[in-house]
Amino acid sequence: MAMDKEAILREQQLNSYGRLMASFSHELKNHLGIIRESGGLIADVIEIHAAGLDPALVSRIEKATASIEKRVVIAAQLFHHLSSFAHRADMPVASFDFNEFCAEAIALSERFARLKQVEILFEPSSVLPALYSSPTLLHHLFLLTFEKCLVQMEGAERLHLVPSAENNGIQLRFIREKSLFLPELFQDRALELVLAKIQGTLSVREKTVEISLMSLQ
Amino acid sequence: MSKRILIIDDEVEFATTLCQRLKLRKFEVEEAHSGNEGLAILKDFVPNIVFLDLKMPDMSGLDVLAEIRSVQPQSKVVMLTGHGSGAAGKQALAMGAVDYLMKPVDFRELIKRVTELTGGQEEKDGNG
Repeated sequence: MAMDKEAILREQQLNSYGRLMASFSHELKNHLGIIRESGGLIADVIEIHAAGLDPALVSRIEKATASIEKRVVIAAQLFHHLSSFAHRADMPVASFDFNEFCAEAIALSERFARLKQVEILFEPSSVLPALYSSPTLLHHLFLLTFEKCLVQMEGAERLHLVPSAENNGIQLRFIREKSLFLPELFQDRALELVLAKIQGTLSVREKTVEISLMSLQ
Repeated sequence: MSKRILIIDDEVEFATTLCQRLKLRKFEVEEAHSGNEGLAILKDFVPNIVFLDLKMPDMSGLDVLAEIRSVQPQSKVVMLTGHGSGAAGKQALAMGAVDYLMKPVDFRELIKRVTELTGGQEEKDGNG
């Protein structure tokens, strides 16, 4: 009974975090919208009046406004993923598109790879069944596995993330190109706990870490 | 005759800047910073298109949409939403909005929608 209360409390806590993050992300998108339109207005005015201005000045301003636009687009994409991630906590268990889930998890974790100069190559599958599971626990599992892969990887390596449909479930493989993964580094209490909770398995074979997932009953 | 656009968004800087950019392209534009202000403008101004924010403090965008559909059914409403999933935008479509755009809005996409919905052509002038 005590464990049930603890679980309910954790669920509610995650739900609160999710709502706060979604609201925060929404607010930041409004700021991005203003920055984008302001940069666009500067670009419009410069384009209209370019004939009477120093060409070098026009060029500098055009580069600056193009940079604003480019960065806003990148930031907006990140906030889009953050917002989706935040809403994952709305439901403790849900049916969802696993490719979308992977794209979101990669976007949110990609910085860890970039800091290690590891390139992530995501290869979505067109034939995945919908997965009915806990999205927040899957994010937890993804991050734990991803971090353990990165710990073993050095700069200029590439990590392929490949989901596939397997035996009425889904398999997600983390595949490196150069060295072998060390299985003992994946023997971890946190991984065991989350795998048990979502009824998944993890195995390590040479350059591949495989996570097998089934829809919860 | 220039096409008429109404922008309803509580983010004043966003609405004003968007308004200026559309005016540079010779559209006749009005802006409102709340749902009630937008509905008041509609008494004297019949826009071809209304760009309507989904979340505002005084009235929700969906309530404003329902009111516009009732008092100005000829105006086409395009929702502006920051909601990540697009679910709210889809709900607005079911209530009579013709389209929705995700925030931060891509201006080229917005102009494309205006052109499609009004059958007009964009053109910039020198009144910036």
